[in-house]
Amino acid sequence: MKVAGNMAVVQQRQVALLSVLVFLFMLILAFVPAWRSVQSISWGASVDFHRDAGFVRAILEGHSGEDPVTLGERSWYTPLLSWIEALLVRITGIPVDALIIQAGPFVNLLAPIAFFLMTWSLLGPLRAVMTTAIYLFFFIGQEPSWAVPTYSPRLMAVITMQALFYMDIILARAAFRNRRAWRFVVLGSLAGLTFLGHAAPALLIVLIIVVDTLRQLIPAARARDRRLMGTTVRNALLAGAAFVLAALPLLTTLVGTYGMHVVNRSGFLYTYYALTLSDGRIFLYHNVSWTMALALAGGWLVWMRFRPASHDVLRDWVVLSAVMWAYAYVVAVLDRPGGIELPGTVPSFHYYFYLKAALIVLAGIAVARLWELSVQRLAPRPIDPWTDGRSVVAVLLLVVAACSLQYPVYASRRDLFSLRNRDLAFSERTDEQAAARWIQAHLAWNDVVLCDQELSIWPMLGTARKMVATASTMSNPYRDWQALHAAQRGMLHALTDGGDISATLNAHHVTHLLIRNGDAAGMPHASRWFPREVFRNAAYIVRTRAGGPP
Amino acid sequence: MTGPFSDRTFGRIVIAFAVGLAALAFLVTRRSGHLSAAEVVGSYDRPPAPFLGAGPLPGHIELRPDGVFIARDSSGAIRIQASWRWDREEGLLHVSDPVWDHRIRQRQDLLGSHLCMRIDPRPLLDDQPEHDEEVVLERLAP
Repeated sequence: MKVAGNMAVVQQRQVALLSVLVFLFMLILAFVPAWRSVQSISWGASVDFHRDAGFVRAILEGHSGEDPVTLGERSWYTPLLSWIEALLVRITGIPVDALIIQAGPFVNLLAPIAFFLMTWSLLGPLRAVMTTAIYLFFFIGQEPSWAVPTYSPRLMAVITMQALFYMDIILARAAFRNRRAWRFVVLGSLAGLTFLGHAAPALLIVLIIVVDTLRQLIPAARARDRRLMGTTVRNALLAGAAFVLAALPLLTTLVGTYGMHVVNRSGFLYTYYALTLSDGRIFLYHNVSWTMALALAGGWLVWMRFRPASHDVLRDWVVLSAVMWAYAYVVAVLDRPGGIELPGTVPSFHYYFYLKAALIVLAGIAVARLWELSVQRLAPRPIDPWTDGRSVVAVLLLVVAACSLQYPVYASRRDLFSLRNRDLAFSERTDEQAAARWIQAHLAWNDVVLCDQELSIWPMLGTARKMVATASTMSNPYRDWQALHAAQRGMLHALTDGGDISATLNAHHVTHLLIRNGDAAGMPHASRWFPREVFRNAAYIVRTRAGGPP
Repeated sequence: MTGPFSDRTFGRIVIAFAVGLAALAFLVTRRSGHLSAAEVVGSYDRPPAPFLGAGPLPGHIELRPDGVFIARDSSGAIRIQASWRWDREEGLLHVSDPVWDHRIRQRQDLLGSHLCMRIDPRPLLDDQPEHDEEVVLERLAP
């Protein structure tokens, strides 16, 4: 018996080592086009990159925790990615905007590594290889990587922080299996860290912990098993306390400063266009696919056919992300004039993202089942396809062949090209970049710029210099965006039509005006309130109130 | 075989696997298949794609060898006339008209390289939500 046991251990190690080798091969195939996609790019075109650059600059300038957009406000956005980026800027010396682009392919390697480890813990090494191949090369199709989970060069919280969620799943499954207190402390701490990274995965893992706790608590209560009830409640409390402690840097602002009172709801009302009813055909374009069929087959296998208890976490993950997606969508649909304002969390596509991550795992389960059936049919005698040497080597070679054949499609997929194409187009705007650099270098931290909405995104948002208002989705959710926006419009109209805006300028502490060079002629009253021009190039003009009327 | 490989056999398999995978990764990821400007010259039609609809942009494109870009609507009338330049390194078409610049590019699939076109009518950087759905263009004539 002992010899057989030792042989099984050796066999497991061999399978594990070969699986890791194939995973590394896949990782190289994924990394190379991602790395190429950021070559020679020093400034990202996405509004998310501009927003993140503002938060990173705030940290680097010693204003950590302050809102870089609105004067006197606290930073409201999940800070973990900004902390990482600021640290990398300090270590490497690479300028903020370039680092946000160049670090993406490296930092985001954590996501496929965590996904592989998670699927290994759920399904074993060989199935993990199959599932990770689907995650990396097949499920993404032609959708953007901020909507569908995969490895991506984009350094954005929604993409980067999926790694923490996969680690959460590993810890949750382990904690609920052996119920040791320290495991719940670690789980709660990582969930809290996840909250600092991105709200959607944190909410999902908290809900999963709640559901799994109830799954243990209710039968224990019915059986009047006081000991199990006590253990379950203690573990839940430990996890909750650890979560609060770890998430404290953000909770102090959201709860302590703002009392969770959201005034500007635009952030969580944003809906990815492919998830709107009006663009339903685009949803079908992306989701009528063989990978989705495999995912549905995997769901049928897990819940209708085999129902393994080990997949409770996976089931919770699928159900909760689907429910939260539907809820977030209902929140957005009902929120219209005269409609209903339900409490919101995050945009619905963030839950769609995590639902798709679970569907990838289900697709992997379906592919693994197909392999089992194939081996049973083709092998001359009954063998275990997950330990037999020839079967193991054959399945790994098949995965290698599939990924290699898919590579040309993968390397030229929409997501990679779209990112680079936009960044290349953006890099042609050299005058605009010069203006952004000048504003960042010459305006003080508490200076406030009056500009229109479009300019508030670019070139302003990444400079970490204050504005009267920016786009509602990028604005502090705890400030009345409508009031800020109305003040901004009123002051800009007065530059064209005349009128006394002294009180409004003072109320918003406005110090500078930013306008397009081409708009200057249409603003005859600009020089009254902003008498001195301090910057001009082919794209923009910056004027200051210094020397003007009080 | 139902048991594990012997240490020696397994060691050989691991080395062969690692070397083979490294070589394959090198071969697979080498840049290749980039079309030249001469190769993209020609006339193209935008075929109907499932679920994507027709869209407002003209569906017939001509990339003439003299550097003239022409887009025609379904009646054959010229809607856009501009100049074009092919960026071979990026696999990207530059057009002097801002709506068409950065819109057509090279994409690869299992059958080879094709030109494909972003169908959203907005200029690239005016479209922050990234409506970047594309259709593969059908080549009519060189």
